[in-house]
Amino acid sequence: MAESAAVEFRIDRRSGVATYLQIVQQTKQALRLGVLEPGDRLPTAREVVEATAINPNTVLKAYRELEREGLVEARRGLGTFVRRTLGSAAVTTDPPLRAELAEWTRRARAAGLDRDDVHALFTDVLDSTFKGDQH
Amino acid sequence: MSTLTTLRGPARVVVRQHRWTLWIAGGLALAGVIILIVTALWSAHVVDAFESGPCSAEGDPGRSCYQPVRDYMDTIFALSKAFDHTATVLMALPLLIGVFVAGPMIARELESGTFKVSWTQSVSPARWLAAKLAVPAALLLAGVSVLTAVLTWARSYADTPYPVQWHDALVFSTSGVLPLAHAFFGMCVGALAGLLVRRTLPALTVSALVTGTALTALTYWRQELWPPRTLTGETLNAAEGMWWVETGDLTSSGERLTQTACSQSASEADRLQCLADHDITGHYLDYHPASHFWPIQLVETGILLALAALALALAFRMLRRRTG
Amino acid sequence: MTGAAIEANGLGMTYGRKRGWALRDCSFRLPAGRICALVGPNGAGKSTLLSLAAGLLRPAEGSVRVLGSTPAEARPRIAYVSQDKPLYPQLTVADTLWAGAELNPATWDRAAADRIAGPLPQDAKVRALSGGQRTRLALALALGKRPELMLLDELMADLDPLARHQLMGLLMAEAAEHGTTIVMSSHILTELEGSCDYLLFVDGGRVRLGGESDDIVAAHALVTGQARDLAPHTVVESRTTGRQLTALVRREGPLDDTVWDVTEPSLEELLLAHLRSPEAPPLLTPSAHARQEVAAV
Repeated sequence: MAESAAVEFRIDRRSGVATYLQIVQQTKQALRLGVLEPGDRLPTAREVVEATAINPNTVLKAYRELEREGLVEARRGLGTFVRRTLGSAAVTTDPPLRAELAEWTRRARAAGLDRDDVHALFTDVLDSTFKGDQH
Repeated sequence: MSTLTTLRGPARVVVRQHRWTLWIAGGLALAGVIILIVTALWSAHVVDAFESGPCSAEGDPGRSCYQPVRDYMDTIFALSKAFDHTATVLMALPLLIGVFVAGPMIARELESGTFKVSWTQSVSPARWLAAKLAVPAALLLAGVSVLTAVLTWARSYADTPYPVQWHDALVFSTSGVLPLAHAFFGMCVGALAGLLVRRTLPALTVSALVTGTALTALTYWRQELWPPRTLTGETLNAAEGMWWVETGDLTSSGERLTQTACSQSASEADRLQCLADHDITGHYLDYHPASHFWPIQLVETGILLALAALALALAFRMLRRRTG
Repeated sequence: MTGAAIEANGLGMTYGRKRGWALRDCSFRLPAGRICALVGPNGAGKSTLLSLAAGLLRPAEGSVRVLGSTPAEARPRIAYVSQDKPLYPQLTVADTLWAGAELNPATWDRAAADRIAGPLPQDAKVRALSGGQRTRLALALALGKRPELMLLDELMADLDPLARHQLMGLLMAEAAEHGTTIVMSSHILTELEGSCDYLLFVDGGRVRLGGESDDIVAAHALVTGQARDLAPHTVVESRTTGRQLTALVRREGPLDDTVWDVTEPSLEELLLAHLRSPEAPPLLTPSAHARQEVAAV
């Protein structure tokens, strides 16, 4: 029996985001946050679909995508394993960036913006900054 | 061989599906065998006890023996009824088997939709039908053979004053190979009726009607199944055990008159005059001797098996044409 | 092997002259290894199509080939669950699974059957089971056969949402492990949407849409804008309110997004539009096109 997988995916059917993209994004999120580390095994397609009832090919498609980006590798008969963490170690290991954002958020709140306003503003800036990028 | 092994699974499932019916049928057959054996032994005992006594069933019993002979005859008659009842059941068996195969076994599967389960396993519809028939066929082969053998033995075991007439419908249909042929025929008619009608109650009704009609018709025309022998002469010496087919008068030219024209004559003189008027010189009798038992049995069996095979062929053909 | 799980050519079926055609002129191909949603309104011909593929019926015209052979030859490799979930009423749950093993001696996978049938009372008679329990047992029987192709007619209709999710998960897990092709029919698309990657949309006895769900969605667009001619695109459905036109079109080349507000329709919107417009021409993606001649394997 292989050791159990390090993450579990949650699929939101109503989100409008393609199911395979949800898996890709959740894997990347886990890599960014350090939940997944190199050597960890991703759940097998069987495990994912048994828990989520989504199409097995969707899982395979997502894993191929992650493989193509060099984040994971499939080892025959063993499963899919994490190869490297996601580059932006800044998320966890760069306190200055986080501190700056926290400071900015505090100021926004002081200026009378509520949670949704802040979120909308942040998303807008995010969209314009990363415009043209794939994901 | 491979057919046998592929039939094993579905046949076992058929047995499991109908196990209560099969248990009950087996129980009834066993009860029938026991009743026959007990009756035969008891009859023999009654005969022995009577014959070792002072009275005789032959001739005039006389005053002192009047009541004992009467009691004896009544007892033996009552006991022989047990044979008749068993024989009646045995005669009805083809109908019952047909009803069971047509209704609960086949039509109910088609009616309730479980055929969709049966036909989508690894077993083809033809195999399914073969298994449905193999199970009752094997059981009736065993059950009917044993019952027939025991009944035949029981009838002849005790030497009672009520002789068994071989050509009596109740006897002829329940001895030899006919019970098997009847039962097999009933089963095949049931299979065809079940597949054709597809609804439980109508299917079993149709099966019973067709089998009943066919067997009644065969019983009715049984004498015609084999050419009879003929006895002619001025007087006829009909012997015990002859099965009379037809009797009548003969003219001098050998022409047969089926109506005995002169039997109504008032006096002997009138009768002679009548015979002369009609140019009657003798009588004739068409009959089957006891030696015709087997030829008639075999011809009737052949007819039934041919009809059964036809029903089977139709049933399998229908099944193939309906499914992909 | 990437052959066809089902290939129909001019397939037609009628249950008697008076009742008309249940299915007519059906030609499509379902590649092996797909999870296919067979959708369409009630009476569209879904059950007939599945029965033909399962070898329970013989086509009135045309042909259907399953896993490269006739449905009858492929019988040991197909599992079928009928809409009414018929099961032998006089048998118990345990007896039914035993019968599955007896009737499929070559392929029976007891573990797979038990995974589904585990929660059922083993000694209960089938006639005493609830609708949901019957569904579970019927599915256990089908999965125990370890088929290459599963034909499931309205399988989930009797299940509560929790059981539906769980059984669908188990079904997908089996498919993931063994590459089983699954065809699931339903008149409720949302029941199947997340699990299926292939679509067959049947309506009025004909296949109107067939192919990868993603490709079918991508082939269409929901456009709004000032009322004007939409040529060369095929209009499936259009509605004009005042000067504004809302239309669902099948793209023939790029859409001019300077004149039109273009969005991608959901699969459900797509099917509804087709249901409202019976005249819209059928669309089969290249992988769903039946090949007239079946190549030798």
